[in-house]
Amino acid sequence: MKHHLWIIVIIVIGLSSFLVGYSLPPFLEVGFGTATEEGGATSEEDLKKLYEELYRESEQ
Amino acid sequence: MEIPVPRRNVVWAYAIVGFFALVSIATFALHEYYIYLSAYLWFGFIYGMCLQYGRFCFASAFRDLFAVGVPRMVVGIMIATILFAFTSALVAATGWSTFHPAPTSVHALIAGVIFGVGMVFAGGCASGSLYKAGEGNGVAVVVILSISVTQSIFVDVAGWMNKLVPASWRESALQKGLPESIGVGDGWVDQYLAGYVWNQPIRTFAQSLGLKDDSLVGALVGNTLAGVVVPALLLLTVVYIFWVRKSYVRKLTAQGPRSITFVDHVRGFWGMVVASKRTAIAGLLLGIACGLQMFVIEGMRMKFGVKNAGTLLERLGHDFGISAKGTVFDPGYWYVTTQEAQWVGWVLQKLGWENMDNIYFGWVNGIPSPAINPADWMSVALIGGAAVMALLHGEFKFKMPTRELAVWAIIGGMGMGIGSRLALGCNVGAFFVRTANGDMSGWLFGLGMIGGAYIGVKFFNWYTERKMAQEMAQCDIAF
Repeated sequence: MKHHLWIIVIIVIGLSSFLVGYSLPPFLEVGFGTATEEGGATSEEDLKKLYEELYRESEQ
Repeated sequence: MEIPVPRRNVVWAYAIVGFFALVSIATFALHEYYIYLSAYLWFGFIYGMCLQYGRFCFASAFRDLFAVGVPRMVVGIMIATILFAFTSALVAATGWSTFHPAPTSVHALIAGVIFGVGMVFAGGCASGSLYKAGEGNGVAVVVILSISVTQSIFVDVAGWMNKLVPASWRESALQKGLPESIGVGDGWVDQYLAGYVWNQPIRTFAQSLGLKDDSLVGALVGNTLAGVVVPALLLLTVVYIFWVRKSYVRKLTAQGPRSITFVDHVRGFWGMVVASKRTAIAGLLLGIACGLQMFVIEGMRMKFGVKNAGTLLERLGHDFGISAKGTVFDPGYWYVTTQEAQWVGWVLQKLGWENMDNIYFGWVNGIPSPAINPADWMSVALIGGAAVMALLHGEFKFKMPTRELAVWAIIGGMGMGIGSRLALGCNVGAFFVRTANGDMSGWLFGLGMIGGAYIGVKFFNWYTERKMAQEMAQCDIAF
């Protein structure tokens, strides 16, 4: 029966790997270790500040 | 030697995997957003497989230790927590962990005691009951039902319970600026949360050492080494001294008269650790899966431009049961009890109980239909994963609960339901995940849970002895 377990393990690993691969592109774009630094805004206040700065820059 | 497994078990195992695969593929074909729910589903399935393989049950672990002096599973759980801490640290160091520490105060300790007593009475903790349900255990199903119903009622109880709320909690809760639809001044749990718990400090070991949680040094040295490895080794040492040392020394001296050295004790300690290999392997796999789930969920949130699954459900047209903030319960990692409360909350709402006016459902977690609730997908798949493992190991068997066991399951489930709502989590959400991520409240809950389990075991021993004495007395009369 062990081989049946391994077949199921392989199916589960395959599906999970698909999920990991599916969610990877955003990380590659943003980068690791940047969640609270260059990664950008983490809250609505941060977003507001970011847009205000962009607006100020475009005004200048 | 391999245990022969009936062919129908294999067929059922493939059928379960096939069903979940079909759900994932069909819903993905319906809309891309459903893959978010499938992520919860497949990680839940992995958790179920690991839990069943490692027999990962906190109730059994402490019952074995306190009732019969067998430390194997407690040691395994401690090792698993250490291993999970390392994988959590790596995720935290990337800056993309979905974990949020909880407020730390004496409430976690008290909640742990209530939870600990409950899990011993019930014969299974929150995660243990789920995997045992996957093995066909009827008592575990009753425990899950009891936890679910108790939580969903407890979070909405007002009336006479309002009289038990301290004035300071009420005053503080009313100052939190929550919308009128929540009615924060009405309901014990609402005022407990907004008037007491939210005022408590959030503490991690890394922060207390002046380090950042999402830095490599903070995550590894602060939260893992100081926050998990050192306290866990201390606990393991206590277990060795009180439960293992005596028999180990006896075994050594039986081989011939000799003096016991420190090196002998180190060997004995190591022997105790490696004896729990199966639970420890399950813990490592659980840790890897938890870490990967955090990555996957965070990646999908970025991909779909959302911070919470509530937004996705709204976009898909499922707007029933979403909280006033537009959120649903979406922890991003392994959790057990909240989704159990949610499905009963949803049923009660459908039966006419207005329960969206409390903080727990109405402001934070919502009560989306169980059919589209991400965390519910995780729990259902967890039971499925455990069932597959049990089927393939010849360990699946339908067991109907006796009346006595069902009563204990209901009482224990009530204790766990109340304890988990007071602590904002169960043995997984409030202990295993929090401790592994360096959250101080995790250890407070854990200590309370150990104390509660001890009280529960002692009470059970007293009850069993009393019952046996009564039965013996009746036999005497009959003769």
